[in-house]
Amino acid sequence: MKDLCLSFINRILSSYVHEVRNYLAIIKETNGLMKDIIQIGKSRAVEAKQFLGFIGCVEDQIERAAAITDYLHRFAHRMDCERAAVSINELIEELIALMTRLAYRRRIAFEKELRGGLPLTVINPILFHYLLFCIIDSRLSRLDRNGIVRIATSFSEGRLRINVSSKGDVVQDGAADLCRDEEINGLAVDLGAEISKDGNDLVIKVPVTA
Amino acid sequence: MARAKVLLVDDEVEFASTLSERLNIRGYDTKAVYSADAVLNKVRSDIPDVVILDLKMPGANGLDILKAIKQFNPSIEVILLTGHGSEQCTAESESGGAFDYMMKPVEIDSLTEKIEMALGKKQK
Repeated sequence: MKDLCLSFINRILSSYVHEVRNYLAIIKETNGLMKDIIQIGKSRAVEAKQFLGFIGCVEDQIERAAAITDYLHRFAHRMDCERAAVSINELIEELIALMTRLAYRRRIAFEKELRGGLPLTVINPILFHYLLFCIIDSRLSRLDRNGIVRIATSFSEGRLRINVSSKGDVVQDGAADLCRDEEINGLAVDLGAEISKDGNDLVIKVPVTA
Repeated sequence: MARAKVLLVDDEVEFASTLSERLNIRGYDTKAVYSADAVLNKVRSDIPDVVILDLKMPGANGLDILKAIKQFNPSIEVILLTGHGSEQCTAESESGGAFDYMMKPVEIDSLTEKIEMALGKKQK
C-alpha cells in the first residue's frame, strides 16, 4: 500500500511538473521572441500590436501555472491530518486538474457534473484522494484515444455519491475490475465508503459522517 | 545558399509556433507540426535537415516517432526535447539514433548550437 501511495504521489507530481514546465517554456519563448523583435528593430506600430498579444499569452500562462500550483498546494495539505471535513467536489476538481496531463497524454478528456450544495464528509483526505485517483486512473488506462472520463457527484439516501463512467473505445491493456480489487475495496471499507457498479458507472458511496 | 530546414514537433502550439518564429529569425527555414500523427507525413513531403521532437506527445511515444524518422531517412538528424535529463533519457535517445536531447525550457543559443552541430554532422 505504501508503495502504491508513493507511486500515486509520484504520478501527480510528475503530471504537475510537466504542465508547469510547458507554461514556463511558452513564457520563455514568448519573452525571447519579444527580445528578438526589439533587437531586429521592427517598426513600432507592429511591435505594439504584436507585443500586446505576447503579453496576453504570458499572462495567460502565468495564470494557468498559478492555478495548477494552487491545486498542488491544496493537495499537499491534504496530508496534514488523518481526518478532516472535505468537500468531495473540491477534491475532485483538484484531482482532475492534477491528472489533466496524464489524461491529455492519452488524448482523453474529463467531463464533470458536480452538484452544488453537497454536505461535507469527514474522512482521511489523502487516502480518499488516492482511492479516487485509482478509480479514475483505471478508467483512463482502459480507454483508447479520444475517450471521455465522466465524473458526477450527487447526494442520495444520506450518502454522497460519486459516479465515474467512461465513453469511447476500450483497450484491454490495464483494464482492472476495481470492484473485485481487494486492496481498493479494503481501502474503501477503511474509509467507510463503498464501491459498486451501476451499468457502465463505478459508484463510490460515502456517508457524510464517515 | 539554401536555408537549413528544421521541423519542430510539439503539441504545445504556442510553444512550437513561437520557437519556430525565433528559429526563422535566426535564418532557419522552420516549420512546426503539433501532433504526432502529422510528423511522418510532413517528413515525407518536405524532408527536413533537422527535426526537433518533443519526447512526450499525446497518444504517442516520441522514441517510436524517432525510430520511424530514422527508418525513413537516416540522414535526418533528430534533437529530442524532454522534460527531464536523466541517464535513462540519454541512453534511450542514443539507442534510438537521436543526435542529442535538450531539456525544456530550452535556451535558444544552446538549441541553435545543437542544430549547427547536427547540420555539421550531416555534411560530413
